[in-house]
Amino acid sequence: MANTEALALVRKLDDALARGDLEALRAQVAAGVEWAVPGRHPLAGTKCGPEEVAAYHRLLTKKGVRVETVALDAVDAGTVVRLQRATGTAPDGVALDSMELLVYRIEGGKVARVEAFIGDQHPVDLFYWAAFRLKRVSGCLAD
Amino acid sequence: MDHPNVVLVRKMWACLANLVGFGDGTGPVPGFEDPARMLRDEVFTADVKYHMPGHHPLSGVKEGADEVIAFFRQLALKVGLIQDAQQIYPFGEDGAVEIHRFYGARPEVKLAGTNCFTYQLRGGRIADIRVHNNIQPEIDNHFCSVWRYKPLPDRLAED
Repeated sequence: MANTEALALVRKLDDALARGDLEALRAQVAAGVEWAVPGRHPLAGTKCGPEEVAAYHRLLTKKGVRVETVALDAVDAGTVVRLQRATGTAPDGVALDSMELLVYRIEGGKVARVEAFIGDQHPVDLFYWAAFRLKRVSGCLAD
Repeated sequence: MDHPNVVLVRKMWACLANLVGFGDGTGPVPGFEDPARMLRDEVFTADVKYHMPGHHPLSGVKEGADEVIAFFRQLALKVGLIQDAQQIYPFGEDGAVEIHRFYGARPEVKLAGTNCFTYQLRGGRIADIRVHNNIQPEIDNHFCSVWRYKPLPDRLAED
């Protein structure tokens, strides 16, 4: 896969996520895709599979998180890097303004893993705690 | 004779020791054979709040006896925390303060430290419990390694 193809793949992924189109998303990502969200907050952790990746992006949209791409480029045939600024405001006024780097790893013509790196994790944690509520103890934990 | 606020806090721990095995590691306490009922009807107010600080899967405010019990059940299940050197004092007109050492019952649990709890009573029952510690980053790291959330969106409460 050439660099231009890798870049085109990530742009198609962007489009599928923006439209909330799960079938289109499945065409761009591996069945076992992992999307790693760092931090200590209710959305943190690795999202596994297209369904959870789609759910994660739906939740961001629902809470009004806006993401503006500052730069996007393929650094080699298997790696695309995005620099982005995420902004938003939680209901109680806690603001999000985060510079983030996303690294997309491509295997077999599909996005296999996305890893996010955050400019300043602590205020990001505070925003997501303010924006999302977990279920009670017995409901939010995996077995 | 102990102050009634101190007696009530000791009763809470005795109930939790019998109910979920959480406590000082010495096992069930005689005389507390119906601990869940005692916690609901004699120890906690109906709207009791337990404030767990930090950024981890068990942090946040637990409200109601059942949620507080569920919280301690998780601690007992996954970490087996033991607390000893327990010092409990009356504090203010309707309060109590507690200082205790804690550590894991399981050899693989390396977390250990000192906790300070404050209790606020209303009508002779515990209405508010706040946990304070001085090693929050270590606790966050440990609890995030022990407990996992469900996948999104199942972990989240409805708006």
